[in-house]
Amino acid sequence: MATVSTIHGATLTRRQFVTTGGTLVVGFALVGDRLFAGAAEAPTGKNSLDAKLSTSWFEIHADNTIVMRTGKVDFGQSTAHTAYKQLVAEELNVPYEAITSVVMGDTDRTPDGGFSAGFLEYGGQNLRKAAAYTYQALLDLAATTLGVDKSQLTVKDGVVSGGGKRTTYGELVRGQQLKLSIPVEGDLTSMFGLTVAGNPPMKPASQYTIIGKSFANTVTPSKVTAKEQWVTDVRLPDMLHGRIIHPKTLGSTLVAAGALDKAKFPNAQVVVKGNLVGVVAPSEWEAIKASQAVAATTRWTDWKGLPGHARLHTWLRDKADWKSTPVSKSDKGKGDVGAALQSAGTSFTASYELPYMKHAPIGPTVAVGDARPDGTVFIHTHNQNPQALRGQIAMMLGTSVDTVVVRIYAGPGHYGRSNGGNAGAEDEAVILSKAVGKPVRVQWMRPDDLQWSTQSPAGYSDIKIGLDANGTITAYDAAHYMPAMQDDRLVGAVIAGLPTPPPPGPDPRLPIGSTINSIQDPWIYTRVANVAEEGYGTFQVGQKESPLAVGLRDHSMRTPGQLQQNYPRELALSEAAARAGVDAIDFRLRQTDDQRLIGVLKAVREASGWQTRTAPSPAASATGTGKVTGQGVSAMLRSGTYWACVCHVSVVPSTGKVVVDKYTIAVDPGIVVNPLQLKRQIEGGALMGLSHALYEEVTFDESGVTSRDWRTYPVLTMADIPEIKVVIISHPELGTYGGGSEAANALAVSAIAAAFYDATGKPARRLPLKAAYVQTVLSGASGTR
Amino acid sequence: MAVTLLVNGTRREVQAPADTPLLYVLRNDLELSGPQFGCGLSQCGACSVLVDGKEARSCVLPLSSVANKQITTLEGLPERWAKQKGLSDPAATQTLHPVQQAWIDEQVPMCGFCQNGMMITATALLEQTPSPTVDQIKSAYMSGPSPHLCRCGTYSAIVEAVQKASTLMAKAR
Repeated sequence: MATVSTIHGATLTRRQFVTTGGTLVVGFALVGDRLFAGAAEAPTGKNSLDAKLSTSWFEIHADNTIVMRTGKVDFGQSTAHTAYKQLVAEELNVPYEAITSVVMGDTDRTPDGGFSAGFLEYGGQNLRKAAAYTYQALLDLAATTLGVDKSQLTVKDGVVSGGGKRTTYGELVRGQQLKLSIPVEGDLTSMFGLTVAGNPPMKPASQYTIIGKSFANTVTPSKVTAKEQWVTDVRLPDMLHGRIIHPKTLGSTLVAAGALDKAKFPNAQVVVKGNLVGVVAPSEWEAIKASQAVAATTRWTDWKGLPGHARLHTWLRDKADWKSTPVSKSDKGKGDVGAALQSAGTSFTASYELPYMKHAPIGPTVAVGDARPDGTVFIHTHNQNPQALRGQIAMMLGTSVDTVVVRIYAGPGHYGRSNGGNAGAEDEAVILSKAVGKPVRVQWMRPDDLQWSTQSPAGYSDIKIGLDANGTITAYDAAHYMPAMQDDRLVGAVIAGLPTPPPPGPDPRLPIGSTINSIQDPWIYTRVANVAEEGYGTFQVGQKESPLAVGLRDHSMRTPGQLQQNYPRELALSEAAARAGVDAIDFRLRQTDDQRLIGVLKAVREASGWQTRTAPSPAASATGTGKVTGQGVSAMLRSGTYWACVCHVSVVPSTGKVVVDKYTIAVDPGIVVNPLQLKRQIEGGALMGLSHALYEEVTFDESGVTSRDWRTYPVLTMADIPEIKVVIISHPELGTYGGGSEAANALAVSAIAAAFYDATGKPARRLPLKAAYVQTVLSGASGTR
Repeated sequence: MAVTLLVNGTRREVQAPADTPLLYVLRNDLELSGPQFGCGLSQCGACSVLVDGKEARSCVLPLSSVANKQITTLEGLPERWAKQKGLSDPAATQTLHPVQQAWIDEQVPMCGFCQNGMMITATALLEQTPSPTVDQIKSAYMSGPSPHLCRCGTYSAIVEAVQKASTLMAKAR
């Protein structure tokens, strides 16, 4: 018989004694269930959360080692392998090294699901709470075992002491099967996954000894010695290699699949499902060559329904439907902006444009689908929301999630593309596997990945700023226009005509997957008396017109939505500061009472070597073959973290070449979990931001994306790296965990554009700052085209 | 066709069409998964290997062109270093190439997908230029068929790691 006790809303069960080993398994109970009845049973049944070991958050073993499990998928920023272990070790009072294994993402082996973004804000808090419940249960066990009152016990490095006695966690669990059920809420296969409920006692930040230290990423050795099991390495018995022949355009339907020359490709096979054409073969090279041969004779309808990238912003302004979607308004709106603008001594008005950009992983998406004869489906992939993918695959096949398992491997980072479950190749691998009755590995080629994946949405913003004679902002008015940002439909399923969720539309029940353009960039200039920010949303470009229902599909990318709103805001503030004759950092400081914003602005001013003066620079020039230089600043609040960034640039007006010489950033996340890894995340973000600012723009014609390789979609190279300086400001007393792996990219784009203005005296109000566009700006033509 | 390859110091016989890119042979037939498929166009460097000591893009190298040539993949770097230093076999299995050690010390990889080519290029550079300047390091990653590309923005860390590897190699001399 089991004995049961309740600890802060969690339930501890002690079962029969076992002779060797012993573990404490922390599993689940759903809130609202009777806590003990069915405790730790899977909320969604088979292949989900095993009532014994595989569904648990932690296993604490008799040898004092601990296994930790999370549904979040670390794709290189190291948070699950460093910060998560620090959070858990801290709450459990065990050494960091005691956590010897991290299980990540696999839908049948991890507990919580949800998207892999905002690691500290979401998954990290689940782990902290789960660890806090576990710690309380261990204290209770120790109190019983030692015969000492719980209040007399202290724990250090996994050793429990009190009343002159001591024991270890390992000894406490030895010889027993213990099961702790903790309360959770939510929907496992939804965007957000499950959340640990209740309020167990947590360790105060003032007592932290592990959080705040710089631990190395434990995955690095396997990645540099080729021992890592990458998604690209998955090989199953009888597996076939697959390639997809994607439609000719983003709206083409299939007329006839090309014939396969069996003399040339004796082992290959063509699969057609709806408008999806695939080729499989036992050898990868045969699959590639056969698919190229079949593609050459496959016939498609023609389609033209896109404006083309050169006309995009004119089209968005004049032709897009901004009326069918409710307008979002900022919750920081106040005063009467219209009246304040009218009475302002000086007003500044400008429009800013952003292009479509790509997630652009270095390796194209790849997945192995294994549809088995018993009806179960295994998917091996690299994906940021495996539980959501599981739900979508079940929907596509018209089956239950019980039959679908997603396994996760390391892969090329794609920065948000799959946080709704869809990286690209997974559904196609399953469709082909089901058709041929064998496991199929679908590897997209480079053009597939650029032309058939989602993109970070383009947009434009109209900004109006009113100023008084003292250089104070009296009114700020922003209207942001952006097509739907998050299309999570499986594209292979769409092409094949299989069930998917609906495409983004004006449905307020789907705040992320809708056309609603919510205000994503928190207003931080608290002293401004009159503020209005509006978000206008519309359908994805070409999606409704495409007979395939595809068009230019969008998806959130690093600092999603906020990049599109922060870039125009911060660049406009820098331009308005110049109009007011005030230094751009001083200008920001005088518009806010927010001490954390003031802190990062002052820190970045000091660290960057900022010259306090009005822009443009006294030496600014828009002509000549000599180098002119400039400085620019930007600031942001994202996921509880305050950021300020300064970029120094050089411009050669005659060539239009822009070089970023220095990138300086100050960051205040509240609690700093791991300074070393935070710095690395920021450095990576900085360079991605340079890439956005200088190079990245998806090109497309009336039929589809024309960016098809690294020559037609260039990204930053080593020749372009600046000096990077990161200033980390720690505020543990706030007790909050701000995010660290986003924002640095988004801050770069406006700071670089502001520095360009400082250097040349000419505003560039669209990205990227490529030579041809820069020369247009410098020759005096309009900053926006 | 049957081709003899000399991979990481071992003779390997392979049966594959002559035009098969070396990358697929390494990954699928020889189970050497260090080199990665990034573009298949010789535009990114994720697939790099050393062919007779020079960095080459295995995604576009036909199998027939590398018969009987010395090929080193990421897996072969420790052995390559051990041979250059005259280390015994047991010591060789325990030793990382200084480039790999530097990549760990400097915590270079983020997603890590491109780092195979970054380490191969570092090895080729340091064998020719033991103490490269920053400009020489950058130029090594900008030359060849294309620049080596990293999406995660680890370029600065790579420069630091090459300098670190140079120091480690100098110490081992």
